[in-house]
Amino acid sequence: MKKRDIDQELDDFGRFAEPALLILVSLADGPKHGYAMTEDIAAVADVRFGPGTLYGAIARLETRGLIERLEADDRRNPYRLTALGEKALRARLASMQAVMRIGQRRLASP
Amino acid sequence: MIVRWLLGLYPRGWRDRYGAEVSALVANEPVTIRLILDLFAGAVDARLHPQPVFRRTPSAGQESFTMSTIFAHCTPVDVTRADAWRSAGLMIALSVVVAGVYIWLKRTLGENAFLDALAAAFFPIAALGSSWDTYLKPYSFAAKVSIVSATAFVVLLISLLASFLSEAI
Repeated sequence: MKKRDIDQELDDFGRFAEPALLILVSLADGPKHGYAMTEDIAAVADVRFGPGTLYGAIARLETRGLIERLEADDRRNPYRLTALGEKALRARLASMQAVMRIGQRRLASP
Repeated sequence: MIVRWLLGLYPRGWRDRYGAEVSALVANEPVTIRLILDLFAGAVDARLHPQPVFRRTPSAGQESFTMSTIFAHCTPVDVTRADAWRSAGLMIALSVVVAGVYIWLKRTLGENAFLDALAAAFFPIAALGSSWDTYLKPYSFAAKVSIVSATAFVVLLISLLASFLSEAI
Protein backbone atom coordinates (compact mmCIF):
# COMPACT_ATOMS: atom_id res chain seq x y z
CA MET A 1 0.00 0.00 0.00
CA LYS A 2 1.31 3.47 -0.91
CA LYS A 3 2.21 5.98 1.82
CA ARG A 4 -0.52 8.35 0.60
CA ASP A 5 -3.12 5.52 0.72
CA ILE A 6 -2.09 4.72 4.28
CA ASP A 7 -2.39 8.40 5.22
CA GLN A 8 -5.92 8.39 3.76
CA GLU A 9 -7.00 5.25 5.66
CA LEU A 10 -9.08 7.35 8.09
CA ASP A 11 -10.58 9.67 5.46
CA ASP A 12 -13.61 7.46 4.82
CA PHE A 13 -14.55 7.27 8.51
CA GLY A 14 -16.80 10.37 8.38
CA ARG A 15 -17.79 11.44 11.89
CA PHE A 16 -15.78 8.50 13.27
CA ALA A 17 -12.47 9.88 11.92
CA GLU A 18 -11.55 11.75 15.10
CA PRO A 19 -12.52 8.94 17.51
CA ALA A 20 -10.63 6.46 15.29
CA LEU A 21 -7.49 8.59 15.32
CA LEU A 22 -7.65 8.97 19.11
CA ILE A 23 -8.17 5.22 19.51
CA LEU A 24 -5.03 4.57 17.43
CA VAL A 25 -3.14 7.09 19.59
CA SER A 26 -4.46 5.41 22.73
CA LEU A 27 -3.36 1.96 21.56
CA ALA A 28 0.08 3.20 20.48
CA ASP A 29 1.58 2.38 23.89
CA GLY A 30 -0.05 -1.04 24.26
CA PRO A 31 -3.33 -2.98 24.16
CA LYS A 32 -6.37 -1.57 25.97
CA HIS A 33 -10.02 -2.50 26.39
CA GLY A 34 -12.90 -0.08 25.84
CA TYR A 35 -12.97 1.40 29.34
CA ALA A 36 -9.20 1.96 29.44
CA MET A 37 -9.34 3.57 25.99
CA THR A 38 -12.14 5.92 27.08
CA GLU A 39 -10.21 7.00 30.17
CA ASP A 40 -6.94 7.38 28.27
CA ILE A 41 -8.55 9.46 25.50
CA ALA A 42 -10.26 11.65 28.12
CA ALA A 43 -6.89 12.25 29.79
CA VAL A 44 -4.99 12.86 26.54
CA ALA A 45 -7.52 14.83 24.48
CA ASP A 46 -10.05 16.00 27.07
CA VAL A 47 -12.90 14.35 25.18
CA ARG A 48 -15.03 11.45 26.39
CA PHE A 49 -16.65 9.31 23.71
CA GLY A 50 -19.86 7.45 24.43
CA PRO A 51 -19.91 3.67 23.80
CA GLY A 52 -21.91 4.06 20.58
CA THR A 53 -19.26 6.34 19.09
CA LEU A 54 -16.33 4.35 20.53
CA TYR A 55 -17.50 1.00 19.17
CA GLY A 56 -18.60 2.53 15.85
CA ALA A 57 -14.98 3.60 15.40
CA ILE A 58 -13.59 0.30 16.74
CA ALA A 59 -15.70 -1.69 14.24
CA ARG A 60 -14.38 0.42 11.36
CA LEU A 61 -10.77 0.13 12.55
CA GLU A 62 -11.13 -3.65 12.94
CA THR A 63 -12.72 -3.97 9.50
CA ARG A 64 -9.77 -2.17 7.88
CA GLY A 65 -7.23 -4.23 9.84
CA LEU A 66 -5.83 -1.21 11.70
CA ILE A 67 -6.51 -2.75 15.12
CA GLU A 68 -7.21 -6.31 16.23
CA ARG A 69 -9.06 -7.85 19.11
CA LEU A 70 -7.21 -9.99 21.65
CA GLU A 71 -8.57 -12.81 23.82
CA ALA A 72 -10.95 -11.55 26.53
CA ASP A 73 -9.67 -11.33 30.10
CA ASP A 74 -13.28 -11.23 31.37
CA ARG A 75 -16.17 -9.64 29.48
CA ARG A 76 -13.83 -6.95 28.19
CA ASN A 77 -11.75 -7.63 25.09
CA PRO A 78 -8.51 -5.70 24.77
CA TYR A 79 -7.53 -4.33 21.36
CA ARG A 80 -4.10 -3.71 19.93
CA LEU A 81 -2.62 -1.77 17.07
CA THR A 82 -1.66 -3.85 14.01
CA ALA A 83 1.41 -3.14 11.89
CA LEU A 84 -0.87 -1.49 9.31
CA GLY A 85 -2.53 0.56 12.06
CA GLU A 86 0.86 1.76 13.27
CA LYS A 87 1.81 2.81 9.72
CA ALA A 88 -1.52 4.62 9.29
CA LEU A 89 -1.08 6.42 12.62
CA ARG A 90 2.50 7.47 11.80
CA ALA A 91 1.41 8.76 8.36
CA ARG A 92 -1.54 10.69 9.79
CA LEU A 93 0.52 12.26 12.60
CA ALA A 94 3.23 13.25 10.11
CA SER A 95 0.71 14.99 7.83
CA MET A 96 -0.90 16.71 10.85
CA GLN A 97 2.55 17.86 11.98
CA ALA A 98 3.27 19.30 8.53
CA VAL A 99 -0.03 21.22 8.57
CA MET A 100 0.67 22.42 12.11
CA ARG A 101 4.15 23.70 11.16
CA ILE A 102 2.79 25.61 8.16
CA GLY A 103 -0.05 27.09 10.25
CA GLN A 104 2.32 28.22 13.00
CA ARG A 105 4.75 29.70 10.49
CA ARG A 106 1.96 31.66 8.82
CA LEU A 107 0.63 32.92 12.14
CA ALA A 108 4.13 34.01 13.15
CA SER A 109 4.75 35.91 9.90
CA PRO A 110 3.72 39.60 10.04
CA MET B 1 -33.11 -1.30 31.70
CA ILE B 2 -33.08 1.41 29.04
CA VAL B 3 -29.47 0.57 28.14
CA ARG B 4 -30.45 -3.06 27.56
CA TRP B 5 -33.34 -1.89 25.37
CA LEU B 6 -30.99 0.40 23.41
CA LEU B 7 -28.50 -2.44 22.91
CA GLY B 8 -31.41 -4.47 21.53
CA LEU B 9 -31.65 -1.94 18.71
CA TYR B 10 -28.21 -2.97 17.41
CA PRO B 11 -27.88 -5.74 14.80
CA ARG B 12 -27.42 -9.19 16.30
CA GLY B 13 -23.92 -9.55 14.81
CA TRP B 14 -22.88 -6.30 16.52
CA ARG B 15 -24.36 -7.48 19.83
CA ASP B 16 -22.59 -10.83 19.55
CA ARG B 17 -19.27 -9.09 19.06
CA TYR B 18 -19.50 -5.97 21.20
CA GLY B 19 -22.62 -6.34 23.37
CA ALA B 20 -20.91 -7.78 26.47
CA GLU B 21 -18.09 -5.22 26.26
CA VAL B 22 -20.46 -2.27 25.98
CA SER B 23 -22.65 -3.63 28.80
CA ALA B 24 -19.56 -3.87 31.01
CA LEU B 25 -18.47 -0.38 29.92
CA VAL B 26 -21.75 1.31 30.82
CA ALA B 27 -22.52 -0.82 33.90
CA ASN B 28 -21.09 1.73 36.32
CA GLU B 29 -22.00 4.84 34.36
CA PRO B 30 -25.02 7.01 35.15
CA VAL B 31 -27.69 6.85 32.47
CA THR B 32 -27.69 10.33 30.98
CA ILE B 33 -29.45 11.81 27.95
CA ARG B 34 -26.03 12.01 26.26
CA LEU B 35 -25.44 8.28 26.80
CA ILE B 36 -28.92 7.41 25.49
CA LEU B 37 -28.49 9.57 22.38
CA ASP B 38 -25.02 8.18 21.76
CA LEU B 39 -26.18 4.57 21.99
CA PHE B 40 -29.21 5.32 19.79
CA ALA B 41 -27.06 7.06 17.14
CA GLY B 42 -24.64 4.12 17.31
CA ALA B 43 -27.51 1.67 16.70
CA VAL B 44 -28.71 3.66 13.68
CA ASP B 45 -25.16 3.76 12.32
CA ALA B 46 -24.64 0.02 12.90
CA ARG B 47 -27.85 -0.71 10.97
CA LEU B 48 -27.17 1.70 8.12
CA HIS B 49 -23.44 0.94 7.82
CA PRO B 50 -22.93 -2.64 9.02
CA GLN B 51 -19.18 -3.33 9.07
CA PRO B 52 -18.03 -6.70 7.71
CA VAL B 53 -16.36 -7.41 11.06
CA PHE B 54 -19.77 -7.83 12.73
CA ARG B 55 -21.94 -8.76 9.77
CA ARG B 56 -23.38 -12.21 10.23
CA THR B 57 -23.28 -14.74 7.43
CA PRO B 58 -26.12 -17.10 8.29
CA SER B 59 -25.77 -20.65 7.09
CA ALA B 60 -28.42 -22.18 4.85
CA GLY B 61 -31.74 -22.50 6.62
CA GLN B 62 -30.87 -19.87 9.23
CA GLU B 63 -31.81 -16.92 7.03
CA SER B 64 -34.52 -14.77 8.53
CA PHE B 65 -35.92 -11.59 7.03
CA THR B 66 -35.65 -9.28 10.01
CA MET B 67 -34.96 -5.59 9.39
CA SER B 68 -31.29 -6.11 10.26
CA THR B 69 -30.78 -8.85 7.64
CA ILE B 70 -32.58 -6.77 5.03
CA PHE B 71 -30.40 -3.73 5.81
CA ALA B 72 -27.30 -5.95 5.86
CA HIS B 73 -28.14 -7.39 2.46
CA CYS B 74 -28.97 -3.98 1.01
CA THR B 75 -25.75 -2.29 2.11
CA PRO B 76 -22.78 -2.34 -0.24
CA VAL B 77 -19.65 -3.93 1.22
CA ASP B 78 -16.10 -2.55 1.04
CA VAL B 79 -17.09 0.36 -1.16
CA THR B 80 -14.31 2.93 -1.23
CA ARG B 81 -14.67 6.63 -1.93
CA ALA B 82 -13.21 6.02 -5.42
CA ASP B 83 -15.92 3.39 -6.06
CA ALA B 84 -18.62 5.86 -4.98
CA TRP B 85 -17.26 8.56 -7.31
CA ARG B 86 -16.95 6.07 -10.19
CA SER B 87 -20.55 5.01 -9.55
CA ALA B 88 -21.73 8.65 -9.61
CA GLY B 89 -19.82 9.21 -12.87
CA LEU B 90 -21.31 6.08 -14.39
CA MET B 91 -24.79 7.21 -13.36
CA ILE B 92 -24.32 10.56 -15.13
CA ALA B 93 -22.73 8.96 -18.20
CA LEU B 94 -25.48 6.34 -18.52
CA SER B 95 -28.17 9.01 -18.07
CA VAL B 96 -26.61 11.03 -20.91
CA VAL B 97 -26.39 7.92 -23.12
CA VAL B 98 -29.99 6.80 -22.54
CA ALA B 99 -31.23 10.39 -23.01
CA GLY B 100 -29.35 10.44 -26.33
CA VAL B 101 -30.89 7.11 -27.35
CA TYR B 102 -34.33 8.44 -26.43
CA ILE B 103 -33.86 11.63 -28.48
CA TRP B 104 -32.58 9.62 -31.46
CA LEU B 105 -35.50 7.15 -31.28
CA LYS B 106 -38.01 9.98 -30.94
CA ARG B 107 -36.59 11.76 -34.00
CA THR B 108 -36.54 8.52 -35.94
CA LEU B 109 -39.92 7.08 -34.93
CA GLY B 110 -41.83 10.29 -34.13
CA GLU B 111 -44.52 10.47 -31.41
CA ASN B 112 -44.92 7.04 -29.92
CA ALA B 113 -46.65 6.00 -26.67
CA PHE B 114 -44.35 3.00 -26.28
CA LEU B 115 -41.31 5.22 -26.58
CA ASP B 116 -42.55 7.49 -23.78
CA ALA B 117 -43.06 4.40 -21.63
CA LEU B 118 -39.49 3.33 -22.37
CA ALA B 119 -38.27 6.78 -21.32
CA ALA B 120 -39.64 6.07 -17.84
CA ALA B 121 -37.48 2.94 -17.69
CA PHE B 122 -34.27 4.71 -18.66
CA PHE B 123 -33.56 6.25 -15.24
CA PRO B 124 -33.89 2.98 -13.26
CA ILE B 125 -31.68 1.28 -15.86
CA ALA B 126 -29.02 4.01 -15.46
CA ALA B 127 -29.26 3.64 -11.67
CA LEU B 128 -28.93 -0.13 -12.04
CA GLY B 129 -25.81 0.22 -14.18
CA SER B 130 -24.26 2.66 -11.70
CA SER B 131 -24.44 -0.01 -8.99
CA TRP B 132 -21.66 -1.91 -10.82
CA ASP B 133 -18.96 -0.77 -8.37
CA THR B 134 -21.17 -0.46 -5.28
CA TYR B 135 -23.99 -2.95 -4.64
CA LEU B 136 -22.71 -5.37 -7.27
CA LYS B 137 -19.03 -5.02 -6.30
CA PRO B 138 -18.72 -8.43 -4.58
CA TYR B 139 -20.05 -10.31 -7.63
CA SER B 140 -18.11 -11.71 -10.59
CA PHE B 141 -18.17 -9.96 -13.98
CA ALA B 142 -20.51 -12.61 -15.42
CA ALA B 143 -22.88 -12.30 -12.44
CA LYS B 144 -22.88 -8.49 -12.75
CA VAL B 145 -23.72 -8.68 -16.47
CA SER B 146 -26.48 -11.22 -15.77
CA ILE B 147 -28.02 -9.19 -12.92
CA VAL B 148 -27.90 -5.85 -14.79
CA SER B 149 -29.21 -7.23 -18.11
CA ALA B 150 -31.92 -9.42 -16.55
CA THR B 151 -33.18 -6.60 -14.29
CA ALA B 152 -33.05 -4.07 -17.15
CA PHE B 153 -35.06 -6.51 -19.28
CA VAL B 154 -37.71 -6.86 -16.55
CA VAL B 155 -37.89 -3.06 -16.07
CA LEU B 156 -38.31 -2.53 -19.83
CA LEU B 157 -40.94 -5.26 -19.97
CA ILE B 158 -42.95 -3.64 -17.15
CA SER B 159 -42.77 -0.23 -18.87
CA LEU B 160 -43.93 -1.68 -22.18
CA LEU B 161 -46.72 -3.62 -20.45
CA ALA B 162 -47.86 -0.46 -18.64
CA SER B 163 -47.88 1.42 -21.94
CA PHE B 164 -49.81 -1.38 -23.66
CA LEU B 165 -52.42 -1.44 -20.86
CA SER B 166 -52.84 2.34 -20.89
CA GLU B 167 -53.39 2.22 -24.68
CA ALA B 168 -55.86 -0.66 -24.37
CA ILE B 169 -57.99 0.87 -21.61
